[in-house]
Amino acid sequence: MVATDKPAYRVVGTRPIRPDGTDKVTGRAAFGADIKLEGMLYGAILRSPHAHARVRRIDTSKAEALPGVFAVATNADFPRVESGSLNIGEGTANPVWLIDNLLAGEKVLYHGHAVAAVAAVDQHVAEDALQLIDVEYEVLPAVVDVREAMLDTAPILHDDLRTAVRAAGVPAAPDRPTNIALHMRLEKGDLEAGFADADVVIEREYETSMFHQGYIEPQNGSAWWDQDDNITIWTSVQGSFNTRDQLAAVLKVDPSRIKVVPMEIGGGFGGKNPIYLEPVAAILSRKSKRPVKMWMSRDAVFLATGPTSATYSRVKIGAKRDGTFTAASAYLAFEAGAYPGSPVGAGAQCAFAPYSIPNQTVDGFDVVVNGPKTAAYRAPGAPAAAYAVEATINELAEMLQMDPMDVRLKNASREGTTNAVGAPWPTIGAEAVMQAVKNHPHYTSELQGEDVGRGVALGFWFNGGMESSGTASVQADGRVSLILGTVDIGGSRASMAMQLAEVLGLTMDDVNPHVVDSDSVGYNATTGGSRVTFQGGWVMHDLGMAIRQQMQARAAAMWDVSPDDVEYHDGYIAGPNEVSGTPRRLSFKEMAAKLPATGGLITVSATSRRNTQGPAFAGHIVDLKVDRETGKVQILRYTAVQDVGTAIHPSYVEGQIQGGAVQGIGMALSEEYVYDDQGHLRNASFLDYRMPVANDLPMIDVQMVEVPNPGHPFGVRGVGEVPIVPPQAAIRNALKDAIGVNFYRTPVSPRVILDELLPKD
Amino acid sequence: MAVVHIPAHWRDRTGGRATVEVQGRNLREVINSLDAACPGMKALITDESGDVRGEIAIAINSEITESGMLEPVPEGAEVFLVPAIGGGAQLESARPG
Repeated sequence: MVATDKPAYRVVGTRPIRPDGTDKVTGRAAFGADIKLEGMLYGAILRSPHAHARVRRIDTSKAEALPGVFAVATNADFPRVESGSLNIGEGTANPVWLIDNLLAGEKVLYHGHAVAAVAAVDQHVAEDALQLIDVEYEVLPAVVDVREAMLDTAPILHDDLRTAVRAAGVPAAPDRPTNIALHMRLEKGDLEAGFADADVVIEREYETSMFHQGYIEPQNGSAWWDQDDNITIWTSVQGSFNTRDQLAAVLKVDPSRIKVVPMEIGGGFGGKNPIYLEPVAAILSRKSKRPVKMWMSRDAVFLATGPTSATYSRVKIGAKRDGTFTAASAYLAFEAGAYPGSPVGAGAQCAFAPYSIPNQTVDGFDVVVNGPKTAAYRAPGAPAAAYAVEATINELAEMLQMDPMDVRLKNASREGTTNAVGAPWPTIGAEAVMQAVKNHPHYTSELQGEDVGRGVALGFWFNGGMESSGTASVQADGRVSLILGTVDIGGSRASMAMQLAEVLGLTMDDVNPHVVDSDSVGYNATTGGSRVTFQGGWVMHDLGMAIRQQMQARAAAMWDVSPDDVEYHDGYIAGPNEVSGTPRRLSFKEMAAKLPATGGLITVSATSRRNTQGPAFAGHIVDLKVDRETGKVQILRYTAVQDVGTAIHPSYVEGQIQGGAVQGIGMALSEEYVYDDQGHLRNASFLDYRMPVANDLPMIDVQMVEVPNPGHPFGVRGVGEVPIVPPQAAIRNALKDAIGVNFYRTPVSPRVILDELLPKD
Repeated sequence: MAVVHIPAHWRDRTGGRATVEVQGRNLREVINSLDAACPGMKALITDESGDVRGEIAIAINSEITESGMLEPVPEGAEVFLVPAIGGGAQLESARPG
């Protein structure tokens, strides 16, 4: 049942109402902040006012003595753990650094770094108690810029950090403290010969700012550490199981002692893979012997949760006069925040992915700075790398006097050409997407008016596979109860139910999906990496086929015929005709009704770790207009073209693509973290961190290119991440077309535009 | 036989070779064979538990493995050692303590 061409589906490709829709629009759905438990206490966090300081002393005695305070916690309450590698969902982390980030140890490393926590009878008492905690700091110089942090003279965050060198020909780093955690290099071919063979060589430098995911729901976590040393956590995170495993590592508790109950989640985009509050709430619960609830304010979310990296990059491309790329190199320096672990490795692999370039080198640097530890954010690392490459390609096209899409098509990655590490591409839709962009009525339409411009850019993301599990039970009334362990962020209850219904020949309403806690279903990796509909679809396929097989066997026994003579087709079980000629045929519902009396109801479970997810490519076209008086950019028209494999629920696929494009537009034009010279964040609110809202934008038109993934029963590819990759470069290229200015930094805010347009005096 | 593609910065362990042909029916056997041919490679690829290091992904015939060391390796497979794609790399020589 592997799709090569798109067959005629009954359920896949339709647009049913989501199973959780009514609860969400009526406010009945329970999010993390809705938890209320008997005897519950309320937690609060004291945060550092300094970007970099040594913690000389913490005196919590006055806070502990305040009436209504039940517990106070500091870093000293965490167990000492071994350095190691821990899966945190989309990436890994060292548990030593995880603890240090939860509550600071010897040093605070960023403005807003958590220092101590209080649990009290209510939120007001908890916050009053925070004021009574006396912390003595030795303030240290801070560094918040990636290039400054790489200098030998920069303030050092971690005295024990050394550069890991994974670059051929680069000598081992000296044994002295540094902020550069990693220097990695990807290379293939002969870079020098490739550039020597070029007729034209272009090299440009770029910067991108730190961007936050901007999910509506702040982080939260409630914990109950019971008298038997079992821990229950209620939280809104992307992965119950990776949250459980992180908790187990930092609390030194067996994972089986921890149950994570996933509440409904108000957005994540990668940022709700790491944990921030849950272990602190657990420690406060252990100390107070009461359940403890914690949540973040919006300013705490900006100050202390993981945004994506600010970056500096340098891209060089060589080409023949006909546009054929002969060589390319990139230098990518990514901020990791306070602890190592930026997505520079992913960015390095994504940078030139849409293009077949025989000679290329990408150098990547992972650099710690005095900012919050970065986290995954939708295609982590890819937007910054693509911004630099796609901007450079547009300038190259201009130098060659070629259409920017013709240059891209001439160099498109295709099945069998090799990626950045020399591995051949499987079936991919890069060329199909580029062709669709070039032929799109938007791209071929005439652009009219003053100060208007059009830009294009491409993007790539790997897509993930990881592990999913599920259980399905056939009820006697003919409906199927479906137990899921992947948190539903983007409509996965619907996409899972639809795929199972398709296998069984039912409707989506015949399948009743439930997202359950980590004790109640097999292991499920995080909801991230654009993986859930792909891997979950395989689980639905396996569950459905197992149910079909058992139903066929049960019918064969009933009819006293060989199971080989019983078929399952379109929701019906059919056997050979009776001697009288009467057909033997039962619908799924009729067969379900007979199950209790013929051996019992059917329950099946399945786990899948398929690795055939297939990568995704996207191409975006944007028209915009610049107001020369205010510097404001108005998006006039925006089209996102994407290879989606097969769209299970087209409305949700379109929503993912529109949402990714809008977040990318925000990166391009308005969003940025603003730090002062001392490393204080100056815009920790949605008033000052300006995300695009509905009235800033036109409808984002989506063109889905369906190149079915041959490695999936319904041809699914991940769709959620790649749409955030092209917008920064597409808009930057459109700005050049509109006002003739090449910008080399995002966001291009009105002030930046006015700086270019207004007389210099 | 499987063909293992060696990242440039590890080629000092392979005498400069970009690829090494080794025997193995699954990833564990391939890595053991690779280590026998080029001592020290296994320690670069696996952690103290014998699992693939978190910062490394392994692609067999262009598909990233999901089953770790027991992933079957077909005859003639191309095996690539690549950086993991996650949002936060673990850095073995940069760990504290």
